[in-house]
Amino acid sequence: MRFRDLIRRSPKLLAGTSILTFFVFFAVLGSTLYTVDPTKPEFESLETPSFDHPLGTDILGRDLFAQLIHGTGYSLKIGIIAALITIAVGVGVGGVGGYFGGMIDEILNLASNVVLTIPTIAFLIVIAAYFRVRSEWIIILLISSTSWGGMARSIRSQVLSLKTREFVDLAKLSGISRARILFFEVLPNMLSYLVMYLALSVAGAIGSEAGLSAIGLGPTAIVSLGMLLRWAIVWEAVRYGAWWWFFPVGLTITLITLSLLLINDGLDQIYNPRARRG
Amino acid sequence: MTRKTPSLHYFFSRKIMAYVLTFYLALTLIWLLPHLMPGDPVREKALKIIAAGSKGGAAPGVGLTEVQVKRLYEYWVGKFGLDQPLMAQYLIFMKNCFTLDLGVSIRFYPSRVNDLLIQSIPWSLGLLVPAIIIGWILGNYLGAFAAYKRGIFDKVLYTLFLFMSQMPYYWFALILVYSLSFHAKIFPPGGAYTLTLTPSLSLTFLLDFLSHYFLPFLSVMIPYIGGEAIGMRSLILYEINSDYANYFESLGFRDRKLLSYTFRNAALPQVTGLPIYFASAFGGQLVTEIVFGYPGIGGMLYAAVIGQDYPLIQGGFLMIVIVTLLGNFLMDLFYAYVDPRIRVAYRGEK
Repeated sequence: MRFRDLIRRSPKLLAGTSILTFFVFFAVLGSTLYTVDPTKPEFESLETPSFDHPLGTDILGRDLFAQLIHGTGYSLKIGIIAALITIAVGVGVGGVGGYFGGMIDEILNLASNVVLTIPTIAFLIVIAAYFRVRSEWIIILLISSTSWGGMARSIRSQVLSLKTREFVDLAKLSGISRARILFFEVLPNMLSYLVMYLALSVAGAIGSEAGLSAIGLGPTAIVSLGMLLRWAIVWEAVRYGAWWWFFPVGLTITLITLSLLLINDGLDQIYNPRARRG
Repeated sequence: MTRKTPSLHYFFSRKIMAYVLTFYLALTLIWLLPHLMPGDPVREKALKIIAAGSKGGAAPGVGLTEVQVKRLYEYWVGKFGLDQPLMAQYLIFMKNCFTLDLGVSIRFYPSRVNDLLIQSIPWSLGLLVPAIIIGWILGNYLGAFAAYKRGIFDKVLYTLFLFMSQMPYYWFALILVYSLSFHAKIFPPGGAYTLTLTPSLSLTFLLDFLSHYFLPFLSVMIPYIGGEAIGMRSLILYEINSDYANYFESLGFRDRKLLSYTFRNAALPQVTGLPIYFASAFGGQLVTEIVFGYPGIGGMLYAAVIGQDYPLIQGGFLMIVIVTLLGNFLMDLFYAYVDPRIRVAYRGEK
């Protein structure tokens, strides 16, 4: 199915991809076209949005539009990498457990359940608190290590039902190794599901990063969207009535995660006939 | 293929195993973390407090004299057996956790960690429980309503629900403070009550408390409504297209009657989603409390993290883990009893 056909069949998918594409271009083109340094306090403080500063400046006199561009870029990057790791671990754990069964399955399933029951944010807060210097990679690893439980569980249950199908029996008869069957015969059937889950995971990771950063436990050296909100909270943007300081940032986070949810929903409509009528 | 429905016993033995293991790992983790960090956090902390005190600086734990700090340090070493081998320290820590005694806070010396947590838990639950109950009811009705109305009305509401469910709690909190506190000056921007008032059951205090309660409450509830409404909407859409609903319609029953039937069928999965939501709402609320300076467990944990108050961090984390696990477990118990489908889903087999 071509991408154009996909979009025609689901307006949600169209809306989602449009919004997401907009922000990707915003981040990529923005940093080359709008060359103001987001961290240099070189302007008047708390300027309202104007032609020179499309989103005004913060209390230190830093350009908020430049901050938003860089923040969007970093948040997307962190979200995508964390989601890819989440999916890789989830597929590995769920797939191996579901396909091989037995003791391995018991152990992996227990591990998934443990990850599922951990109160994520509290866990992230406590661990992040012990790292004085936090690189973006630490944050990425923290986020993905707490979020693969749901993925592993659903992959496992899908593998359980797929492995009883005829094509798997045929593959077994032809003498391919079990690992090959799992990764090259069984898992490709879930590709549409993986893409849908990727959208959800990216949204979740962006949200987690923003939440961690907003309370001052995000990456220490970079400008992410959560970090921008952090600054607005710490320097009490509200007390100065500086709506331009926090409003666009939160709106960006919301729209990015919303677009990913729309993509997930749209794909669901296309691949899952039951949901199509929605 | 026929398969016996897994028994409740099987279901619970698995579930309990996961809970116990999670709890054990969480405890080990909070014990392990300070040991993985370079240096001795307690000694460093003590030195910092002394340095801040001698300079008169405003560091956490100021106002402690050198003697007090020394006593605090010795107390800590004794309490957690820091002068003993690692294995013994681990066992002492586990014992302290199981007797729910995590010693004295550094930042709020000489308050005990337990007392601090017990003070903050009611604030957190007082915010979360009503927000979830009211949000669940409102969200489900709104979602059902949107699904039932269809058309442009549904599209607008759906977009709105999506937006509500995706916005960060704390960003929404900022907007609430900006519009209703900074501009309209209807509600106070933060805190739990005016500090000049002493907590009592008088009318003035109650009104004051409610006016402080309203914004944090909204900022937890509104995003929750969005999530619930989306779920309910898609469930109702599915139910409305089912055979029994079509049959019902062809019999000429009124739409309202149909809606009430489909609602009841769709409500069960929504109820079973509550535990997952409880955990995530609890997490989201931690951040909201920080924004509003609300004296709940989130604000407490935050103060502890900022002040590097390790006993309080450990205690706060322990408390959150206990509340989340207990909440999840109670709901699991109840719903697995009500709905056999969950047991099947838990085994992950068809």
